[in-house]
Amino acid sequence: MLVEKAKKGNKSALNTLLTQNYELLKGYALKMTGDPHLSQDIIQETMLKAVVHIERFKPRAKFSTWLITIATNVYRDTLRKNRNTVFIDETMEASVAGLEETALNNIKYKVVTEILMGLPYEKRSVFILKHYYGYSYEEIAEILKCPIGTVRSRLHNGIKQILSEMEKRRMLD
Amino acid sequence: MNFKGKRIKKVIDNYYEAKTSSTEENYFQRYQIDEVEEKFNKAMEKMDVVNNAAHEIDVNTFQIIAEGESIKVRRREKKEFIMFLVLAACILFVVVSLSILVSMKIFIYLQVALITIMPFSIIPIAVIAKKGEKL
Repeated sequence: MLVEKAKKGNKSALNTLLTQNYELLKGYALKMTGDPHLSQDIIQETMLKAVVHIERFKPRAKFSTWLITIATNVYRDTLRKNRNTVFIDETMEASVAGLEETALNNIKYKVVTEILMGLPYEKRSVFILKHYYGYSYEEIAEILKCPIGTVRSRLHNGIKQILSEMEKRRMLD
Repeated sequence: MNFKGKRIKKVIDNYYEAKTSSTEENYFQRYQIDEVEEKFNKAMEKMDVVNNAAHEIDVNTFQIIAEGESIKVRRREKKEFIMFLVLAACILFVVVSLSILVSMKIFIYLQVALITIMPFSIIPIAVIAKKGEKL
């Protein structure tokens, strides 16, 4: 219903759609890039493309899935253009729990982000979509435009790489 | 520990199947946890720390919508301009061809017809089209 209104040019409906899916998009972009500044660019570019091409959205899939697909393509294009090393943000918002806990969480966050960013883009995207967002293999295959077998294989290999890396860092003792 | 065997694949498949399935059957099938599965569960728990990241990312959705709308308008205008040029070229081609093949008088007859008929056809059509857009 909201999507139909947005397609007809209702800006309020469009704004509601974007706002409702903002947190999901933000979380996905941060996990994919490991960089809040790059994430902001990805989010803005994704939302802009969604506004411009809203007529192309077919309601058979969820709007959030469509946004994730656009964000994945935007990030892939960014990687192709830049091929820079990814900046891992070392600052995090201080939590209410306390400075020591914040420092520990920051270290854990940094290490896990390093491990995640150590995965090649194809394996990282599959792992993020499966582990953090619970997409099915079929949905991931549609988002990444690859066969389901490839999705499973990338997931298995990605997780094996994560496990090996954690073992090296003695995080599983 | 070697994570290359078939065991780790089974652990991964079972883990994500259990996550999506809520049946008791899956829960009781996993009563035997070996070292591979234990390390896997530990690793996945540690990977969840990125869910707690608190980054402030400021995005103005209204500004993005306005920019998107202006891009759409520019693209539509460009498309309409190209269509106009193509249509004008076609009409000109037809008129010139007729003038050459039949007679130059056709050109004059056409001019007179356009000047007299146009105000009574094009303008009402444009008004109706604009009213239709507003609706």
